[in-house]
Amino acid sequence: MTGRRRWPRLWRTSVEDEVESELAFHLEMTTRELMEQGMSLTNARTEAERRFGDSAAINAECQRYGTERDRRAVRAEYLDELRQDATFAIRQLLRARGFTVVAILTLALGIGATAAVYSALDAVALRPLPYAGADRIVALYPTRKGQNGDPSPPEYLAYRTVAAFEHVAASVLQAGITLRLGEVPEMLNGGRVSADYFAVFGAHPLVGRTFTAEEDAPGRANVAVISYRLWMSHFNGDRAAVGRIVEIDGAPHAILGVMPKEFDLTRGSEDIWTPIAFSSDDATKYGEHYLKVYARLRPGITLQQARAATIPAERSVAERIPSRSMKVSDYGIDVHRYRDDLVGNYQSLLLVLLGAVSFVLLIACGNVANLLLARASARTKELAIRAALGAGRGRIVRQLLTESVVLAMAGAVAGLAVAYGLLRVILAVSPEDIPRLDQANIDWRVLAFTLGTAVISALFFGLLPAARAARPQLQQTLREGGRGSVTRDRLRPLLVAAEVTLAITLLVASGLLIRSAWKMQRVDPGFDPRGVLTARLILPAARYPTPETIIRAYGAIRDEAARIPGVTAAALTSVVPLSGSAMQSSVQAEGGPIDDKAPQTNLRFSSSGYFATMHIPFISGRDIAMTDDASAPGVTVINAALARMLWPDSDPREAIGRRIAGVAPKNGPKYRTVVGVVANVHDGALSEKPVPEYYVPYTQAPELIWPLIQRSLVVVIRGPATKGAAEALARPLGRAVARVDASLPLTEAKSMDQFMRASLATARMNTVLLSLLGGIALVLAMVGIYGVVSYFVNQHTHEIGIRLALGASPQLIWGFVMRRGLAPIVAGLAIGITLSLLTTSLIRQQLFGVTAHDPLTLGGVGSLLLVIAVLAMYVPARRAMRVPPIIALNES
Amino acid sequence: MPPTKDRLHGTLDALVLKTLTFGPRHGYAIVRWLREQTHDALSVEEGSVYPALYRMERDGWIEADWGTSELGRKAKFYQITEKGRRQLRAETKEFASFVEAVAPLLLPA
Repeated sequence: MTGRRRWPRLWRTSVEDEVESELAFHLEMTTRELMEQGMSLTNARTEAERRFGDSAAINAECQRYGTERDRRAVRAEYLDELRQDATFAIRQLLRARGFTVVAILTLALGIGATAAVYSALDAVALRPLPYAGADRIVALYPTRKGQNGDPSPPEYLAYRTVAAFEHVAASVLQAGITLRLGEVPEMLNGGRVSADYFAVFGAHPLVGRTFTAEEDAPGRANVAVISYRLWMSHFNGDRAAVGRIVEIDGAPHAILGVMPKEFDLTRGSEDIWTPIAFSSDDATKYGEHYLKVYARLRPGITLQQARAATIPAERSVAERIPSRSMKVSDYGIDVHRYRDDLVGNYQSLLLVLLGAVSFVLLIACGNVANLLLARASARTKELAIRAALGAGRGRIVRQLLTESVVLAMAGAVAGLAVAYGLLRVILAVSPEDIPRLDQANIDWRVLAFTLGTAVISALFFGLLPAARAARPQLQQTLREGGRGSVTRDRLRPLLVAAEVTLAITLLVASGLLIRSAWKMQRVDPGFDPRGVLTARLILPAARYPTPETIIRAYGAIRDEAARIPGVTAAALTSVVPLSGSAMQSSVQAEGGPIDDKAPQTNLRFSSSGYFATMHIPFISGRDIAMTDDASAPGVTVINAALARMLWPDSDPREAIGRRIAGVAPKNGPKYRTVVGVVANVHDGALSEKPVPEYYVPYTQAPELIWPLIQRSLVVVIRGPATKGAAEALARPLGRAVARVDASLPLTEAKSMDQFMRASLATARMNTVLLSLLGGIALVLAMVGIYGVVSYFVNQHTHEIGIRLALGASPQLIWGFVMRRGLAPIVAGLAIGITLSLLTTSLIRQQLFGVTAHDPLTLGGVGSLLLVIAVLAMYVPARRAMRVPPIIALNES
Repeated sequence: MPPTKDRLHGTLDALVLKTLTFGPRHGYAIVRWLREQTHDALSVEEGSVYPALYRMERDGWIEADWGTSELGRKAKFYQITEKGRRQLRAETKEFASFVEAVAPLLLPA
């Protein structure tokens, strides 16, 4: 059967000839038959052709089928051989069980880790955003002398007129929207957005509708759109949720629609959208830069074109600002692709991880290549016999490669388990706000990637050993009795050197990132987070209409909180450090320059006792006092950074008594007297430098501030500094608030330690994952070195035995083995460290507190690897020292 | 493909396969056997047997080998495979049910 199936191959004549001669034979036979019946040759031939029909068409059709037949036969033969090779490979691998297990485990680690990181990267950055035409969604930022900021309502209105955009939408993220379905109100994340918001994202509601431009107006805005997540958790996915009236921020709202699942981008993204409802007053609020503005580009418009088209709109707003401190030409615009803003940082984070795992994978491939080399020399005899029996070189290479692929596939299957586990680890240790990371799983894309990785790995680790094993050295091998040649073995040390190079490069980068993370963890935040609990409160406008009512309520809440048993201090502030962006304000010193440099500073509204509660030390002066109320003269406490910025030539302590003011364009500056100077606090992130900041008594907050911050403040209380003590205060705090107003919802109470942890989440992720990957790389490198040195000793048992018999001391043998073993390691170290100097500049942006060429890391990693290498060589080297001379000699 | 043409197609295939159940033959012999057995009633063009042969060979219903004809000429001999026999059984069954369905209409007793 097989002989027959192979005939198209043996029969190298073309299908064309085959058909031609077959048809000719038929015509000839018919002609002969007709002539036997008495026809003349010419007549017989004509009749034969007539009976035959359209010979050209028949010929063509036959050739078509014939070609297809041959192609199928070749494919069948190929598949047949492949099946043979695969079955044979599996049999061979099952026989060498130890080798197979080690190789598959090694590959599973490499391939699995790569698949897990790819899965995360795919979910976060590679998969297109779930929005139609996602690359046309942009974010708009006004600039002042090139510095980015957030847009104000008049700017947003101006952008709407720009023709380059199909839709422009404004939004404000609200960390605390109160939703009341039953008795207990709860606090959710929400957004106030303009009617175009959903159109910008090209998103359509899953159920119901979104709001119209008419509904996006003051007095008509009692409508809401909810997230899929909220719909599922609070309405059980019931379609009747649409049309229900619920209480949002104390006012009844009708639910209009539900957004689809894909609209939930992060674990903490918005759950409710309500209309932003700008009033006519908003059109002149030039100083209120609190919006996020998104736009959808018209098709074919580039970022540059959009930017150029928006600059005139921006400057037309600038011209209308009554008292402007900068030239109109200082005003500009920055257009970012939404996707880049969303995933930009995380993408580079994940790319670094992908780089790290690919190094691990390469090291794993190096190890398996080494194993295969060792195995190939053990199989020299088998291969020589196969070659002698007529297997061509290509055929043997194919057979060996098939073994590699089978090995890689097994590794990939086992690797999927590794990937699944590692993905859980990634999810557990990653910052919560990485968009779409929780959507990462082992789907078909990851499967395809894993399969591809496996095949490429197989080529990587299999090709060299296979090509080498198939080298024709038949006679020599057969003559040697299959012991294999000992002489040339440059490939193996080369592989070790390459592995060490890779390991060093990976470890240096990991080491730098881990050291950055450590340094960040040791940054003094400027306050003492232990034992501090915080909770945001929002007072509904209906019951707290005036500043007086608000201030009275907060005063009472603070007093109640201070009375909780175990609480040593209680205070109020507008935003606690590390919890999100503080309010920004321009500030000027009395008598100082006003124009040009109107520096942005943080502004906090706080109560007396805030610094004592947070343990923020005073440099000089006094705290905000209870008496600094609305009727008293304006006071402020500033931090050292602001003192230095405003009065660079004098000591921060001398700031006491000086006066500063927020830059107020309309009514002229309202000066406040500096009564205290406090130490700096890390506000945005631990990795960022402390910024200039001033604290204003909340009792003296400008009236217009309250609606802007939703009449919201954070209660801060300090309990015992023991672990979990702060969290334990959450319930008593809730009861204390309820004693003042039982209808007030409390946002999830969070301890300052939690904010610290969130701020360190990226650093923690780097530490955990890179330590893990670095550890795997080290183990793999160690196994690789052990394998090679061990093999070297085995191959040289004979020689060592002779040397010992001739009187060489075991120390000499030890030195001999170590020298041979260490040479490639030292070479790898040297190349690796040189390479590191180049690669680490790629991660410079993610480093904190260490330079990209940190000598401590380089030296540490180098010594670590050297120690590991010596450890790996110890066992085989000792074995070499103890070779009994007689056994070595007997072997031959 | 319209069902009538399909029927014809299938019938030709079945006839060729049937011919081969009696032993390996070359194309010309198949054509002559068909002509004799049907008493020239099957007035298809003789050449149309060849595409059918190539197609069936492609599909593995028949196999071909080069041999020597009665007159000492090199000719391609076809042989039915197991797969071909299965196909023939299926075609025959289908043909029978076709006849069973159509005969009462066209050949009223």
